[in-house]
Amino acid sequence: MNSSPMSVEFEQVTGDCSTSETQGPEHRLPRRDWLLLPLIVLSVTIVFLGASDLVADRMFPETGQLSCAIIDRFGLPRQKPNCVCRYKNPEGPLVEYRYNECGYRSAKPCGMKPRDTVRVVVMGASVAWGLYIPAAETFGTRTEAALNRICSRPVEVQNMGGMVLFKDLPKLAREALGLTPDVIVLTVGPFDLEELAGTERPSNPHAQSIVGRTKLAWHNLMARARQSKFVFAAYHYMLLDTQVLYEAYMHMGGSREVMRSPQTAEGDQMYADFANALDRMMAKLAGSGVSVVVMAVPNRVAAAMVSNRSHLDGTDPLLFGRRISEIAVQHGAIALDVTPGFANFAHAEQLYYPVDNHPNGDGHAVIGQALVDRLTDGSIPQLAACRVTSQIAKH
Amino acid sequence: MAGASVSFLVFATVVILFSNLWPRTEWRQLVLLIASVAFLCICADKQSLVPLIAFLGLGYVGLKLIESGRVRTATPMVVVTILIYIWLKRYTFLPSSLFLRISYSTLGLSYIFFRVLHLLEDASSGMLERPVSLVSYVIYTLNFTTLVAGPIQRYQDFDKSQREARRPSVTRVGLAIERIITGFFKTNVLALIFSMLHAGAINQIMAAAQWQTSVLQGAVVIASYPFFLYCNFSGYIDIVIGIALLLGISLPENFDRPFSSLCFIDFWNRWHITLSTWFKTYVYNPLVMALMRRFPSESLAPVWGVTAFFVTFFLVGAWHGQTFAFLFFGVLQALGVSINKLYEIALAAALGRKRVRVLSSNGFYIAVCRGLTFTWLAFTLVWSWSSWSRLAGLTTAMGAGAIVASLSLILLAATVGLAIWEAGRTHLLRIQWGQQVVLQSRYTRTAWCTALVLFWIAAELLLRQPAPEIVYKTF
Repeated sequence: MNSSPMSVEFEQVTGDCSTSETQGPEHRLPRRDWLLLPLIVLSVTIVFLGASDLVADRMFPETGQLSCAIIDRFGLPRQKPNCVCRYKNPEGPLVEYRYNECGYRSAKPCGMKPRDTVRVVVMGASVAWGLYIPAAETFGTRTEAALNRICSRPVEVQNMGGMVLFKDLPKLAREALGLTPDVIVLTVGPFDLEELAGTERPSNPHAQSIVGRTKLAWHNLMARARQSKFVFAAYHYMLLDTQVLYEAYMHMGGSREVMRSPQTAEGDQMYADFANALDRMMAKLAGSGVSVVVMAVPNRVAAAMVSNRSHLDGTDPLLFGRRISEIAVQHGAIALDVTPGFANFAHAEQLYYPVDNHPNGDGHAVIGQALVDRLTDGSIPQLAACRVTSQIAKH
Repeated sequence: MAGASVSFLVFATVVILFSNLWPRTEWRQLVLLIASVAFLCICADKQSLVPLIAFLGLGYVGLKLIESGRVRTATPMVVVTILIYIWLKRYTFLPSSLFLRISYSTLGLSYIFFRVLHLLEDASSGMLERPVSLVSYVIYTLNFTTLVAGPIQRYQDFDKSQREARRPSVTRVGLAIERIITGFFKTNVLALIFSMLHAGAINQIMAAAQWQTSVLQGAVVIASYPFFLYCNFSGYIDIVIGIALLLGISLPENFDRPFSSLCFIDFWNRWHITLSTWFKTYVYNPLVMALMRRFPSESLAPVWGVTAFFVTFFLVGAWHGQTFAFLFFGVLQALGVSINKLYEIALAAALGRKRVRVLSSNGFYIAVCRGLTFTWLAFTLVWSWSSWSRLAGLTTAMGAGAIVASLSLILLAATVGLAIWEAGRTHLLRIQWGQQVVLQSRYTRTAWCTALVLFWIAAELLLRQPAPEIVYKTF
């Protein structure tokens, strides 16, 4: 095509270095580069990961210690009486853990119950304890505050929660009864059921094979990597995404057997173990006249599923609460399934710490509200009077 | 998959592996043919491809008629092709009763159109060395690396690279991977950040209570879009150039640091280069020649040049969309290059060539020219991302004063910012280790690419948003 007089200014400008390189003569790669280039990639990756780890450590700092923790003479994990400590987990705020003279996370003294006061004792593991949650935001404190607002009688909550396994709770029954409670709330989550069953898991029969050893080595390597703040931060941001949460759960999620539908033999065994532990607990409390509420708290995946109306193959988010409630009723306890309460919130997965999986302060608000509703629905005679006020408040 | 996605990369990797299994041209063509047809079928519903295939078939029939000598000139086939293209594109300013009532895919239609017209014209003027076989025609027009958003390659170059293709050497693989990584970073990280900035600023304008906020956010809205578009489009082009390199195809470059342009004409020499080259070859040059032949006066030559510029760039702008807003976008592009040309003519007449040369080497003058070019581009692009009603909403929210202030702020920031960028770049490119420019050494580039991949992974984790679609895919 002939060039016009004006086409001079409309010539394509060339000379971009990338153009000349991509279309220029091809050279052989010097032998040293076969080593140097991968080394550069490796070095940059290490430097990047190191720097990222530092940044992640700044973003997700972990400070303080749960220094009040002790092991009592029965070998149970407890808290030192009148002890105060501070600890910040990477995803949560800096939390002060203040314990009363009995080592309970309660503002009220644990001595003789004041006259006319309704005393609620909360028992259970980390959720009951309010792990990583400021005292004012735990469901125990929220319940106490809400009941005091709507009930004519004063209400106090003694929080006996701690890092105790559900199977060990019966050992604390006598101590709980010593507090002369009107109600005992037993908190249970899917993880507690896993712990009941998982302490003595059979070893992998292939562990001695080469494949087994490789898998074990890989598992150990990943476990070490998971301890780095960079990996923690990566998990945190990944698990904020609901789809990633579901995929992670389907591939390697904990508590799967507890929610698997149809139920597996392993899952059935976990519920049987729970029933057994509850049986022992109820036997210890028999004759005391204390009302027992068994409260099922869902894990993050179940809360997300009911909240987002999600479907995951072979997973029933309501199964855990249903089964726990059935077992509770069979044992003469009052059942409370908190799971449906999470359905009222959009993206209820945001009410949990993404990596840690414990409910956060907002999650405790949902649990607290469900508990208040159950305690004041007429099932507990001492709190029956609150029912009318509660309903008025709702309207 | 028709974007800068991981699935596209996986697809391309499979094609590259198959293509390099056997070095024969026929094998490569067969693999590319299957891959391109599969790509089209994956990206669009098969039934919706019927009009596109018919359009392709018509082009091939026209080409064969010209090649066989049954049709002496390409003009009737070109006119028919243009009319069918306009019909299939469903321009909103045409009566909707004219259009097909079925839903159909127009994926890659624009780029197929450019290639078909080029083949018809070049066949008619005897510029094709040999007849185009059906397989060559299909893989040239539907080549999955260039179907979605170009670049627009000449058939002769495509055919040559197909015939000369061989297994890529290690350095070629390295260069290709570098291009792919750079492109992926641009489209999936930088473009995403700019689009988030753009969307966020629009929301802030709507909620802005203070005049200063309106001005600042207005500047962000207007100025962020060119950067977004550049990263989005040039990133995609980087990816397909890299993929094509591994398939043995050398695609033409489409960008040459467009924001370093000293004037608007220069900008269009550096932005979507293959499109402006196509328009230069098939619109601008023939039009100037025709005008010069019809009115052969030396004194009128500049007038015909400016006229041809106006017409060409109006078409370039209007091509970008199907609505009235894009016709206006075309007018603004046309005005930009025409005024630019008139200014050059007037400046040369007033100062003389020698003083123009002195002025053109003045650092301050260069910086202002760059700033002005960027500001005009950013201003005209408003009509490419906004509709008239949206524009009215933004104008009402900001007020005329704030808009003028925003544009002034962009001019100032672009003048200073681009000058600093250019100076920094020049300075960095001077740093040498032995005889090698450090920034261009393969060691620096390997480190840089590794960092880009790691940044991309980090951004995926932090931003948790899909990258925006390739904008030019819809044009």
